[in-house]
Amino acid sequence: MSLGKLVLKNIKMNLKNYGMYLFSIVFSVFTIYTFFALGNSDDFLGNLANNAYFESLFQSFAWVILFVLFFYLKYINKQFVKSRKKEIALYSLFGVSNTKIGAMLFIENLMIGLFGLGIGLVFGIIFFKLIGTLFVNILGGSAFITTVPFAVNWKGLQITSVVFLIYFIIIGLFSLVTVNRSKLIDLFQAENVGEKQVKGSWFLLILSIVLIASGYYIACNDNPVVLFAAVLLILLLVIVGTYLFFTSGIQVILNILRKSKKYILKGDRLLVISTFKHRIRSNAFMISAITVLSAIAITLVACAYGIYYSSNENAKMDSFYDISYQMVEGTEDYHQEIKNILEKNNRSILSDQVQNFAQLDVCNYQGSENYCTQNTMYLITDEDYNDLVAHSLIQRDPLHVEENELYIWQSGAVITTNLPIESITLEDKSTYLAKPLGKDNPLPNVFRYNTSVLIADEATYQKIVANNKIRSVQKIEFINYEDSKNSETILSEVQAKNLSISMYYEYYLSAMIAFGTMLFIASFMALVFMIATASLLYFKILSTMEEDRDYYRLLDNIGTTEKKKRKIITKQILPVFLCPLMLAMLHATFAIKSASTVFGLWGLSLWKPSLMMFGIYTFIYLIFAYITIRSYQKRVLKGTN
Amino acid sequence: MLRLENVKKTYVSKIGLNKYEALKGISFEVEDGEFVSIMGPSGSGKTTLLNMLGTIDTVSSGAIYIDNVDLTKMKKKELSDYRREKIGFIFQDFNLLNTLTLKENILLPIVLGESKHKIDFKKLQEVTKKLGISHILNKYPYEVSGGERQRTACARAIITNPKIILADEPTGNLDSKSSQELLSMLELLNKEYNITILMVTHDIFAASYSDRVLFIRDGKLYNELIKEGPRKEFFDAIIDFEATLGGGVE
Ligand SMILES: Nc1ncnc2c1ncn2[C@@H]1O[C@H](COP(=O)(O)OP(=O)(O)OP(=O)(O)O)[C@@H](O)[C@H]1O
Ligand SMILES: [Mg+2]
Repeated sequence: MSLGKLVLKNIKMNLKNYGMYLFSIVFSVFTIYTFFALGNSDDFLGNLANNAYFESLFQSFAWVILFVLFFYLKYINKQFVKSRKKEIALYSLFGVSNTKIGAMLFIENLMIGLFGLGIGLVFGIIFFKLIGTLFVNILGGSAFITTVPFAVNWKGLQITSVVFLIYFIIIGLFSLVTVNRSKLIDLFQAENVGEKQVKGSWFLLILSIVLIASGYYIACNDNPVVLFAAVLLILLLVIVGTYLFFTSGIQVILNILRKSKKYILKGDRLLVISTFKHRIRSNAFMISAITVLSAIAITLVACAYGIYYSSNENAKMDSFYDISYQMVEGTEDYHQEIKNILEKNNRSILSDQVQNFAQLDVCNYQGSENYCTQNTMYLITDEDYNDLVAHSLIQRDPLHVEENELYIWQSGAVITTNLPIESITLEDKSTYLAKPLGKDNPLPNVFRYNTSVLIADEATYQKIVANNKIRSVQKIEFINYEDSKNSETILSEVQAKNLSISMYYEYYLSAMIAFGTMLFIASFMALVFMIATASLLYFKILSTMEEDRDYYRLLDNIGTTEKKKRKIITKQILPVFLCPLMLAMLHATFAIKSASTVFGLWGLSLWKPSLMMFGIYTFIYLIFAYITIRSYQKRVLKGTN
Repeated sequence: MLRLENVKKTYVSKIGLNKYEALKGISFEVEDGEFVSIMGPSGSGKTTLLNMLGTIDTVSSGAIYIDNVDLTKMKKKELSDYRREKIGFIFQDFNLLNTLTLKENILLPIVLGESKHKIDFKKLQEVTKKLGISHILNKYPYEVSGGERQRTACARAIITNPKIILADEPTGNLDSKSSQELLSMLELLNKEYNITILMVTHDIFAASYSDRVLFIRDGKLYNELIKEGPRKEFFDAIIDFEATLGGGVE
C-alpha cells in the first residue's frame, strides 16, 4: 500500500463518512449550475421581451450564492477534517510528515470535490428541464415557450466547473496549511474537554426575553411609516436577544432543570440535559445566526409568495378594464384599430363605454389649513363612478355620496409622496371636506400619476359645474373583451401598431414576471439556505463524535442498554435542531406581520404561504435531524462494543 | 539508553493567563531492555511524561537522551524518523481506525512509512499468533472485543521492531483475563525481543510485571521500587509502599 493507494483506500472506506460532505458539494454545484443555466438560457427565455433582465438577475444571485457557499464549504471542510483528527494524529505518530498528510488531504479533497462536481452537474442537467418548466409556469406560462428543451447549458457548465475547481483548490490549501501547522499533541487532545460550566445569568435571560419581546411589540405596530423607520431597531433587538438567549439565557433554564432534583433524577434527563447544554453552548453563535437568518428567509418567501399571488388582483386594480385609453388628439382611429385586433383574434367585446371627466382648477389643503396647493382635478358623479366600477374587472360595492360631500381618489404616487389631501376649495370659494376613497376602491391607471379624481353626487356635481370654469372634458374609453388573460398576440399587435393604451394583460404579465422571478429566486435561496444550515448542524454535531465516544463507553460501563442509548442520543440531538427551528418560526411570524404592514400587504392572506414555509422548513430540519441522529447512533455505538 | 535530565513541562493556557507546571524537573535513567512502570495519583503528570518521551509534545526545559542523542534538540523531520523507527505506542483508548481491518491497522505504521521496514508477513503471523488475534485479522475494530482491540494496538506497536514501547494505562479498559494476557505479552516482548517498556498504570497487578516502579507525585519523582524476587513478592511490596503513601495513590 503506497500513499496513493492509501488515499484511495481511505476514500473507499470513508465513503459513508463522506456522504454528507459529498451531499453538500453536490447540492452546491446543483444550485449554482441551475442559476447560471437559467441566466444563460437564451434558447427558452429567448422570446421574452427583456431577457437581459433575467440574465443579470440570475447571474447576480448566482454570484451571491457562490460567495456564501464558499464559506459554507470551507466550514464544512474544516469540520470534516476535524472529525478525522484521530486518523491524522495516527499518521503523524507513525512518522508521516505533516506536509505529506496535508498533501494527502489535499488530493483527497480534490478527488471528492471533482466527484461531487460531476454528480452535481449531472443532477443539474437532468433536473434543469423540470426546474426551467417550473420557472416558466411561475412566470405565467403561456406567454413563453412552455416546453423547456432538455439540453446541456455549456456556458453554465463551464462557469460552474471552473469556479468550483478553484474553490476546491483553495479549500484544499486551507486544510493543507492547517494540518501543516498543527502540533501532534493538539491532534491527540480532545477539543473543549473540561470546558467550564457556565452558570448563565438570570439578568441576561430576562434581558434577552425583554429584547425579543420589545422587538415583537414594535413589529406589531399598525403604522407603516413608524414601522418602516423601526425596521433596523427591531432587527437589532431580536438579533441581540436571540444571541443572548442562546449563549446565556437558555443555560439558566437548563440549570434550573438540572438543580430540580425531582425533575432531573427521573430517567435519562440528567444525561440529556447536560449534553444538550454543552452543545447549545459551544454552538451558540451558529445557532443564533441560523435562527435569525432562517426567520428572514421564511419572511422573504412568504411575502414574495403573497405578492406573487396578488399579481392578478393588482393588475386588475391598476388597469381597471381590459383596455382603456384617453381620447385625445391622435387617438381617433384607436377604437377601430382595437376592434380590428380583437376581431382578428376572435375575441368578442364584452363592454365598451366612454366616460367623461370634467377637469377643473382646485386648491387643496394638506396638513395645514393656511397653505393650499394649486392643482387641477377631474370630477365625475357617483352614478357614473358606480357604473364604471360595475363594468370593470373588479367587484366593489357601489359608492354612495351625500350631497355637498366629495370623495377623492388619488393615484399611487400622490399618496406616498405627499400627505393626504384633507379639504378642497374651488374657484367659487366653496370648500369641501375630501373623504379619501379607500385603497381598495380604484380608478384606472390611465390617468397615470399625480392625478386626483373627485366624486360627487348628481346635485353637487351640477352645482360645481355651473359655478366653476371647466377647463376641459376628458373622455376615456373603457373596453372589456373575452379571455383577456391570454393576450400575448393581442399585446404584441398593439405594440406593433404603437397604440398608447393601458392594457390589463400588460400589467398582469409584468407583475407575473417581476414577482414570479422574485418568488422563484426567494424560494430557491431559502431552500438552499435551509438545507445548508441544517447540514451545518449535522457536521457540528458529528465533528465531536470521536470525543463523545468515551461518554457512551461510560454508559456501557454502567450497563445502559443499546436501545436506551439510542433514545438518549435522540433526545440529546433533536433539541439542537428544534430550538432554532421554533424560535425562527416565532420570529418569522412577527416579521411577516410587520412586513405586511410596511409593504401594504394587508389584504393578502399571508398565513397560507407562511404556514407552507413553516411546513417545508420543519420538514427539512426533521429530515436532517433524523439523518444526524441515525449516523451518530451508528458511529458512536459501533465504536463502543 | 534512555536518560531524562531535569525535564520540566509548563502548560500555558491559550490566552497566556494561566500557567500550570505539570512536570517540575524529573530525572531518571532506563536501561536497555528494562520494563519500567510509572505510577502516581491522577493528575501527577504521568501522561505528560509519556508524551514527552514519545515526542508527541515538547518539553519546556531539560533534556531527554536516547542513545546519547538529545530528543529535545531534534528537528521535525528527525523526530518523525525517531518516532517511526524507535518507538511503539499503546494508548489507553487503543486508537485504532474503524475504517481499516485489524490487519491493516497493524500494518499501518509500515504502510505509511517512508519506513525502512518491508511488510514482513512472517512477523505479522508470529506476532498476531502470540497475541491470539491471528484468526480475526480481517475483521474491523468495532467487530471485536475490547481486549482484542487492545492486543491489536499492541501488535501495531511492535510490528516495526521498536526499541521502546510506551504504554499509557494499557490495561485500563480490560477485564482481568484480557489484562493478564496483555501483560504476559508485554513481558514476553520484553524478555524475548529485548524491547524496553515504559508503562503508565494505576493497577498494582500490572505494575508487578515490571522490573521497577517509578512513583510520581505532583510532577516530581517521588520514589522507586525495584523487583528483587518473584512477582507475588513485588506485588506485596508495591501494596505496602502505597499504604505508606497514605492513600495518595488510587
Ligand atoms: N493541555 C493541558 N493544558 C493544561 N494543563 C494540562 C494539560 N494536560 C494536562 N494538564 C495538567 O497537567 C497535569 C498532569 O496531567 P497528566 O495528564 O499528565 O496526568 P496523569 O498523571 O496522566 O493523570 P491520570 O492518571 O488521571 O491520567 C494535570 O493536572 C492536568 O490538569
Ligand atoms: Mg494520564
